[in-house]
Amino acid sequence: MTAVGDGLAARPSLPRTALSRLLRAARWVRWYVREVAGDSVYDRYVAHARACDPQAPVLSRRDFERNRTDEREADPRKGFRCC
Amino acid sequence: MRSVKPHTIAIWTVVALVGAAGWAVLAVSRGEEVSAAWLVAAALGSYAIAYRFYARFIAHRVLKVDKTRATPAERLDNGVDFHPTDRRVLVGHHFAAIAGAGPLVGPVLAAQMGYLPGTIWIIVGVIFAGAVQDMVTLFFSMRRDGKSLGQMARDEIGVVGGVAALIAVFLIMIILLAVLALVVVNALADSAWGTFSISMTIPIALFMGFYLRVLRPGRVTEISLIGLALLLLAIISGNWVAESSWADAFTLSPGALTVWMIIYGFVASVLPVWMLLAPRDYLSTFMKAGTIGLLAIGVLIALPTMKAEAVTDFASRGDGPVFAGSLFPFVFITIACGALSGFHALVSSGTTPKMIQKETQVRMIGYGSMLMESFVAVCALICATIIDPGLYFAMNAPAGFVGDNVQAASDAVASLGFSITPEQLQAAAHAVEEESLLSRTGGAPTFAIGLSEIFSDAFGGGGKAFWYHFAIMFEALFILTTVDAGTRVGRFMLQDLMGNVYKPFRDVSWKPGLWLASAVVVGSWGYFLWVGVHDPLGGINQLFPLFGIANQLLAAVALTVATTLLIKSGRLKWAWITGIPLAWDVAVTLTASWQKIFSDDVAVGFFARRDQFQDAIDAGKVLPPAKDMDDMHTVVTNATVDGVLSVIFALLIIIVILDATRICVKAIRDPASTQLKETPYVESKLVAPAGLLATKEEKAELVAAGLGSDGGIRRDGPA
Repeated sequence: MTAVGDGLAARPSLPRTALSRLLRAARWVRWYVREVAGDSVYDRYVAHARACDPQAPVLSRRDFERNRTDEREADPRKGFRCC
Repeated sequence: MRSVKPHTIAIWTVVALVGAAGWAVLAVSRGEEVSAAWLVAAALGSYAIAYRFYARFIAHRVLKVDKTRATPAERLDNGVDFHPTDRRVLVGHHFAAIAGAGPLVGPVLAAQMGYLPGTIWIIVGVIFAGAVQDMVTLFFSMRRDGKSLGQMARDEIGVVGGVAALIAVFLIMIILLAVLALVVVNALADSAWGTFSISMTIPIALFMGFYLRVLRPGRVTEISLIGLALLLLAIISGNWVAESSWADAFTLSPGALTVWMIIYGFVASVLPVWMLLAPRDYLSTFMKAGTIGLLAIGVLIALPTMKAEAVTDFASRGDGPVFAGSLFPFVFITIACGALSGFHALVSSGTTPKMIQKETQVRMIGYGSMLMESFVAVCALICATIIDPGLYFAMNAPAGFVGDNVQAASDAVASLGFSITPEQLQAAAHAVEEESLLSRTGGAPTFAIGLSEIFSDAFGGGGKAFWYHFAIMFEALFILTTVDAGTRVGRFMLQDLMGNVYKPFRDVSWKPGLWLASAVVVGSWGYFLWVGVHDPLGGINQLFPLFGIANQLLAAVALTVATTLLIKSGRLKWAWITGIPLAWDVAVTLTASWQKIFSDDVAVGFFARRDQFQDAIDAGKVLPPAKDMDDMHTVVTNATVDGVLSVIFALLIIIVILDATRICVKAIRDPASTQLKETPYVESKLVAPAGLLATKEEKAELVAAGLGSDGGIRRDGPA
């Protein structure tokens, strides 16, 4: 399971050439941006739901993202940013 | 005692020396131009020492963070709200949530007293007050499953203190929104370029919202990049629009902009979140991260020279044109966010504590993020102090003082003891392609001028005009997002309150209640915005101190809750950690309130001015800067309203502190009687490093858990 952590450990370690380092850095940046921006929230939700029961029914991405935004409607304190 | 390696000692000695050298140069330089590099050195050196030693001491000795104790994120993990989040991701989330326009505005205004007072407070304040508040609040909320500050106040202090804290939060929100909206109005007034670029953010956001809702749900990064590209296009095309026949349509007076702001605030807050707020939020977060990063790098590359004096005469005389009052307490009130911000306590209690992986990470996330915010404030101060002081005062003094042409402005600046020629003022405006820069109060334009100098020096690209409008866009964008989000929060609190009277109000999907509550909130901040725009004495000059007092008051509430909790949990001997910043903050806030209410100086005291202008009205006279009797009545009304608000703020803080003192005394007299509302201990099964980089021991622990990476992975998990 790679949903937690930065998912880099699971990959086979390439020889430490400049190119592999660059790739590794690029992968880290991609992972970081997806995590911070929230692209990965759905994957995490599915992973979480399926962790105990691989057959668990999950929402489609569309429905999940809709629910997530609409929750802010119900309680605007979620995700409030500062002055 | 564990042994300390020689190279560790060497590194920290160097860090200490760098910081000390920075402070030394700032301290002894007088009457000559100092490089901003010294300011950066003093800041970064001090931050490093404070983070390594003081924050560590608080985390381990005072709070006693426990890495074996499961956090709410681990215990209540639901994959959505509660979720153990990688510390490096969470620090990004937390920083994005606390950093806003505040630390960019306050230091710019405080620059009227020179660069030194602001610098000292931003650095010392963050180390001993602001970052401590953020970290301690985060810790206590984490120990209570992410309870909000208001709830903690009610649970741990009492109903009276809790309700007072709640009312304080609501009032502060109103003033905050009014002041931020005023900053935008002042930045966009009579600027076709700026107004066009900012209004383009609405269709851009609508498009992004549609994309995320219908076309490709959840693909935040790709649409944000598209949005950013469109945003840059909007900034560039603003220049074309400003030179075209459309220019008139986008050249709006402050009054017209106010009306637009109020309409926008209402419509935005009743539209569904996905349409405008969510996409704007993504856009402003990306923009914020990018600009702040660029600014830090730009300052380090350009290393500009500061042209402002270290300490101006306004510091002791208290008659500065930007804001009235002497150094103590008004520098501390004005800087607010960059050193100590009560608003952060709302973020530190709420979202972040529900996502933290390990108790030990509160230092990095709470304290560390606030140090970064403080550095943003330092950069803003640098932006304000590298520009010519004459230009600074021409831009930041109220319109009634500066006058409406460059000659009058040049004379007005000369009367302050600084000099700038009318030609120089004209050239400065021309360089950023604005009609005029006179009395562009609110901090944003000054910051933008400084930033455009740094960026065009460090990166080139498009020249000053582009970077100026880029900075204006950057600030206006997230202020508008805050106006929308803040109106919603205010509305939510109001609905909750009105629900006590008439039940349906509490139902957030009941449209009439929603619209009414939104209208009340928008009407309230809209009133202060209107007043601020039309105040002959200058809106920022009048309202900013109120905003600062309100913000520092909220910090006092947070520090009071923190101190009460330290005492209630049997840590009386460590109560000074939050007790001293609290005492200082209360002294500052109450002194400022006292002066605003009782001072005989008409520039400072609201009621003194009310009397002065009322007497003049009775005698049939018109006092400058008022131009007619209408202006005179405006001054009287505004002074009265602002004065009453000052009284309410002061009373609220006194109530909270008295109520908290009662609880503390009880806890000290009879420790057995106190009840802590802390969640019981549950053993943690996560392995995760505490700081940014895993230490040798932490790496060994991760390897022992069969992980090898530096993430936080469930020991017994399906990994």
